[in-house]
Amino acid sequence: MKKTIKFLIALALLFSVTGNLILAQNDGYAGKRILLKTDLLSGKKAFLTGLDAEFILFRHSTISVGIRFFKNKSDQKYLQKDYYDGPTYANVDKPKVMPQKASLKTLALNIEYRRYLKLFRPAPYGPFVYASLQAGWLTVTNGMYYRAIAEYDVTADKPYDEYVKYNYKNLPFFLPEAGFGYQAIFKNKFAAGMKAGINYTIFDSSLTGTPKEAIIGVKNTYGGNIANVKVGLSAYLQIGYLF
Amino acid sequence: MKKYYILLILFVSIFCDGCRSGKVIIERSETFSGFSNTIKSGKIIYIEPEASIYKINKEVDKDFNYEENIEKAVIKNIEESAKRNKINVSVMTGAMKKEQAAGYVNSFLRLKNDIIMANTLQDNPLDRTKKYSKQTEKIFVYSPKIFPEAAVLSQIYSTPYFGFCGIFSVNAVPKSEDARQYMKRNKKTISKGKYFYFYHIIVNVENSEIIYREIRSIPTDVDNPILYTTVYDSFYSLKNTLRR
Repeated sequence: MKKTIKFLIALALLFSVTGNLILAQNDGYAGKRILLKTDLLSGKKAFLTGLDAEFILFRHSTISVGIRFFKNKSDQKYLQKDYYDGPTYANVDKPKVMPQKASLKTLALNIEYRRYLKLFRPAPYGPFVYASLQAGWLTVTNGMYYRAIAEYDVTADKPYDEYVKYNYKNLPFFLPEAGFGYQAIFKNKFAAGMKAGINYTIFDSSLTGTPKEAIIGVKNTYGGNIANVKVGLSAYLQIGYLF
Repeated sequence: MKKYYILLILFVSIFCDGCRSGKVIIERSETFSGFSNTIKSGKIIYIEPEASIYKINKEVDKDFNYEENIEKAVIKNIEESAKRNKINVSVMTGAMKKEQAAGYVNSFLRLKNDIIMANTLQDNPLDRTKKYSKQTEKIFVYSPKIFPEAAVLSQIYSTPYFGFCGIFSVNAVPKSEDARQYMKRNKKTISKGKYFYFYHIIVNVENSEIIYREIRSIPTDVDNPILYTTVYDSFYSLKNTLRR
C-alpha cells in the first residue's frame, strides 16, 4: 500500500512538473512572476506588519514566502473561571484587568500555497483558496496572570488570588491556516486583496514550562492569529506591487 | 500517512492547473520557419484590431462603444506586449492621421477584410473539438490565401509582414436555447464561429498567404486584465514559435 502511494505521488509529481513546464501556456500575469506585498490589517487587537513575496509557479498556483512582525502593548484580562476550578462565586463572568500592560512581540516566517480559481484569469488575479503555515517565536515581557490560592475567602465569597509576573523569550509556535480570498490587480502593476481563514495555533507549553494560565492570558489578550490555542479566525488586507 | 495524501492532493491540483488553462491552437505555414529570421530582424505592421462582441439576451445585441474601447485596449496591449517580447511592430489605425486615413481605407481596409474572409473560411478547431486542453501546434496543409495585389504594400512599408488581431465573443453556449433564439431572431447564423476567441494572424503579402494563425479561447466577459494577459501570452507564443 505504501509503495503504491509513493509511486502515485512520484507519478503525479512527474506529470505536474513536466505537464506544466513543457506543455502549458505562458505562466504568470503577462510575464510578471513576482508580487511583493504587505499585510495591512491582521490580528484581533493590533496591526501586524509583514512582507511577503508571491512567486507565480504555474498558471493558477503560487507560493508565497514572507516574514511577519507583531508588537503590541495591551491590558491583560482574566476571567476568574480561567484560573479557579473551585465552587462558583460572585462576579464569575466579569473579567479582571491586570495592573500592568504586557508587551508581546512575535517574529514568524510564513509560507503559503494559493490556488486561483478563475479559468481565464492567470495568477495572481481573482478568487483563490489558500493554505499557509507560520512558524515563529513569541516573546512576552511584563506578563502577569492570576493564580488562585487554595484557601477560600468566605467573607468576600471568592478565592484568595495573587498576581504572578512572568517574562518569556522566544517561545516557538506554529500556526497552520486555510481559507479563501480575492486579489485584484490595478493598472497591471498594483495588487490589492483580502483573505479570511481559520487557523489553529500550536503553542506547546509543556516544552517550555509555560504555565497554563499564562497561555490562557495570551489567548484572551491577543487572540486570533497569534496565540489562540484553539481554532481562530483571521482576516488580512494586502497591497502589493507586481514585477 | 496523512501527509502523503496532502502531498498527493497538492500535486494533482498543480497538475490540473494546465488542464484549466483554456485552449490555444497555433497554426503556421510550412514556410513560416524560413521567414522567422526576417520577421525577427524586420517589422510586422498590425492593422487596426477588430472586436465583435455579441450580447445575446440583451436589448442591444452589439454595444459599439464597448467594442471600440476593447479595440483601443488591444492596440495599446499589442504595442506593449510586442515591446516586452522584443518583436518590432507598429499598429496602423485609420484614426491616426488624416493622410493615413485615406491610405488606410484604400489599402488596409481591403487587406483586413480579406484576412477576415480567409480566416472565416477556415475550419476553427475550437468549434469542433474539446480535446485541446493546452497549447496545440499544427501546420497548415494549404496556407489560406489573400488577394495578390496586396504585395504592393510591402514596397510602401518596406516589410511584407502584416498582422491582425481580433476578438470574437458571444455570450451563449453553442447549440443552447439562447444561441438558437438569437439565430432565429436575427435570421442568420453567427458566421465567424461558435465559441469566443482571440485570434492573431500574420500574413506575408509578397506570397499572398497567411503564415501564422493563433486562436485562443477567452471568456465572454472580456475586461482589461484579461485582454492584457491574453495579448501578452499571444505575443509570447509568437516569440517562442519564431525561435523554432
